[in-house]
Amino acid sequence: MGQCVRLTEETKKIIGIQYSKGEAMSTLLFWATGNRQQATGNRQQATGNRQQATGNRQQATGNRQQAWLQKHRLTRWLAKLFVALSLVVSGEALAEVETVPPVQKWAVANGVNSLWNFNFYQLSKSEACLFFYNTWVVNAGYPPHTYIGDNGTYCRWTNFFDHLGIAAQQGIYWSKYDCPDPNVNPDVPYTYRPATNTCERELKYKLTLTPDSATIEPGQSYEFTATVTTLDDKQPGISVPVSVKAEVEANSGGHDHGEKVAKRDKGKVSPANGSNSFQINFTSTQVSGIHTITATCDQCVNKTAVAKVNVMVASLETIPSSAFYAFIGGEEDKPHHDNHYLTPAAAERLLVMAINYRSQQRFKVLDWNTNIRVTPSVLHVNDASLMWGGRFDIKANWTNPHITHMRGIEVDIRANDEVGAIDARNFKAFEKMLDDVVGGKTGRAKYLLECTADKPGSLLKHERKAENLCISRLTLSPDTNRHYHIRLIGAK
Amino acid sequence: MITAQLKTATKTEPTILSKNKLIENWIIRYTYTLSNGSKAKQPIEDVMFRGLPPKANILNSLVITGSDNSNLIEFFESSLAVPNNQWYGSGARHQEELIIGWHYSADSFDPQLGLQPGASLKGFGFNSIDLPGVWIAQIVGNVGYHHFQPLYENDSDVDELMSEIEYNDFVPRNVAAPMISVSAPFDPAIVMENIRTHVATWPGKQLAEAAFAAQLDLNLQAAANAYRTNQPEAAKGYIEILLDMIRRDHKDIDREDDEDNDGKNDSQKTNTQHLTIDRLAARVLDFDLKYVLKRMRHEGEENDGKKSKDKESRKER
Ligand SMILES: [Zn+2]
Ligand SMILES: [Zn+2]
Repeated sequence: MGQCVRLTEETKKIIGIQYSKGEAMSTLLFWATGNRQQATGNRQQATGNRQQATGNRQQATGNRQQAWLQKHRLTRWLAKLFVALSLVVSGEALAEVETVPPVQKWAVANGVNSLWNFNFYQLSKSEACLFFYNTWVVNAGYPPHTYIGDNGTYCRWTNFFDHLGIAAQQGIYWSKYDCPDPNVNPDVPYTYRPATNTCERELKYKLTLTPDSATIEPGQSYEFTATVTTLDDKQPGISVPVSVKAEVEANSGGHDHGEKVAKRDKGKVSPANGSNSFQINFTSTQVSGIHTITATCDQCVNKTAVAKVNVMVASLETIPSSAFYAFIGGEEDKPHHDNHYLTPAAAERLLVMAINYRSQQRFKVLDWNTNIRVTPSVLHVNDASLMWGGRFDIKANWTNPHITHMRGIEVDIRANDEVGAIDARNFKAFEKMLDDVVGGKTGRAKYLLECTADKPGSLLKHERKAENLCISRLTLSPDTNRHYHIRLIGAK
Repeated sequence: MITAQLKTATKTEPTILSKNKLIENWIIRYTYTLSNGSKAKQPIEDVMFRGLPPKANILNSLVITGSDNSNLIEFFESSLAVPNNQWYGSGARHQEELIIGWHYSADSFDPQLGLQPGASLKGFGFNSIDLPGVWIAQIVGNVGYHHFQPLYENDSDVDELMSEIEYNDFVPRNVAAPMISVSAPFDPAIVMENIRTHVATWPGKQLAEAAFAAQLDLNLQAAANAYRTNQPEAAKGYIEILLDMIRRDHKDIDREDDEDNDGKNDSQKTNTQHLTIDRLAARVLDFDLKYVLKRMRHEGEENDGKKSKDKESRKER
């Protein structure tokens, strides 16, 4: 009885009041409790009559139901199709509405001045009652009277027209619905919807990409997770589209190609499009570098989320300098100016190799001029691996790599006719020394005497001959690029 | 794509004779005579001992020390005797094994170079304080230069298979090698246990019959226990039993061979009879057991204020 009943539009018309948005009257005005009860009785009877009428209608409804359902299914299907088509055509994303219950606020009026104090709404009936009493009854300057307060149904005080036989006067309650201030994303207020008595706003989302960074080896893949949630970390009720792309930092990973915009393969992301929460597989190329995965969500407040992927062979270190070898290649102005990286274990093997070469009597070779056997020059160490390993594209074109040279376990040693090269007379002994030092458990070192990598079948191709020379079949010129390519340690 | 051409496997018919001789200060001289078969198709260019115990002792090696006093590298060139200056020794000590060997010193990849078919060379050797055991020498024929060695980004299955093929590209021959460490100070119980541990590997290598090896094991254990419990006479008794066991198949095993014989004579007659123990293994064990007896006798004489000037030599095949 004392409950506040929200008025339907129909009722509002009946009572003839145009309410402002969110306002409703709790009950009709009744000055006497008795009158009100009578009215309620009348209403109940009317409801009974209506129920009977509904019963009569039910039979007819049953007959029509089947045909209606069929027709309705078709309609619904067409409606869905329309929605789908309009989505395709417009490209507009579906929006989701966040709904919260409104806050009901109370005010008291005495009927005569009922609209006077509509702005003085309070959060509870009792507060509203006291407020009304203090601001209207007392301030009105009427003769003394006493505050009684809220009895659940009315706001009451002693009536100054006591002598007329009415024990107390009472105000009736009015209420309106306000929307609460949003806890999350307070910049976007709720809007009250009288039709549903709800507070609504368009739901906003946020996008995260986890983890936000990863380190993988060249050619490896990694799974990231894109997640769209509401701002209060709940799952969206609709499909929120997300697109994904991979990028790569120019000149990263030891490839100082002098690019303003990275021209290399950026790696693959799959899928490139998804929604809400989904796995993103990033597959890197064989080239090391800093990649970024960017997920974009137009409906999200943060629009994009970025994860960083370091594509690298970890734990490579610059080869320590030593009196037993010298470095060549990797000049400052070259795209790959840091070409002397190895794993510590491989660097140690290189040193042992170099010490053997310098110290074994066997490697002393006859100096043609003095006719004295002399200690050979220290090993001249050319390309090993780049700082982060990965494909070593000698020509800085992202292709034509060195054979291997990716994992910091291989090195090139000069073996041509240049200064510091291994003398061809030492090749055989050098290869046998490699077997001892880097041969591992098989006792057979892995190495190549490499010649310039010309096109296979080309007449200019330099081939290793039994006499250890890379000779051009056409020109018979020696190969100035001849070198030993040596695997210093087993892979992995 | 890298194509690999498999080189033909070594085609040599080698024999290698091992000899051990106890010289002064309990140093054992290991010497080898290498022969290529007369019908061999290639000269021999390497004799390699791979997989020796990582701490195996080779005397007179040269050690280079790093700035932090750790051993950077050990050279065996100076410690490995060669027949002539056409050969050189080399090696490397790794955490898991010691590698030593001799290579024909070639300035080119000429496949004609090396120990020719039908030829024989003595003078390969080194000194060690470790006792001989039986190990495998890898004898490699000269196949010219190494063809393309396949190199893949990672060690793929193909790569492993290639390594396996390469690895088996030698002819294996049993040799006496420093497999058994001698404790310092000398402790006969520990040395007997070390001998026992090594002998236990023989049945698996067809160097001794299982039943015979089991008998050897029992007596080796008994001798070790006797030394441990300070009963040298009892230990000596077990060692005598062991020496008798060895003589059953190889009666002349303790004969003092002269330098030029290399024990070839006695290998002939044993071919026809059923053997419980390989002749090289028998010689090695005979040497090791007598070393222990000799050393124990010496320790006793030391205590008596005497000094032994005995030298004993043994030949192994
Ligand atoms: Zn590059
Ligand atoms: Zn290379």
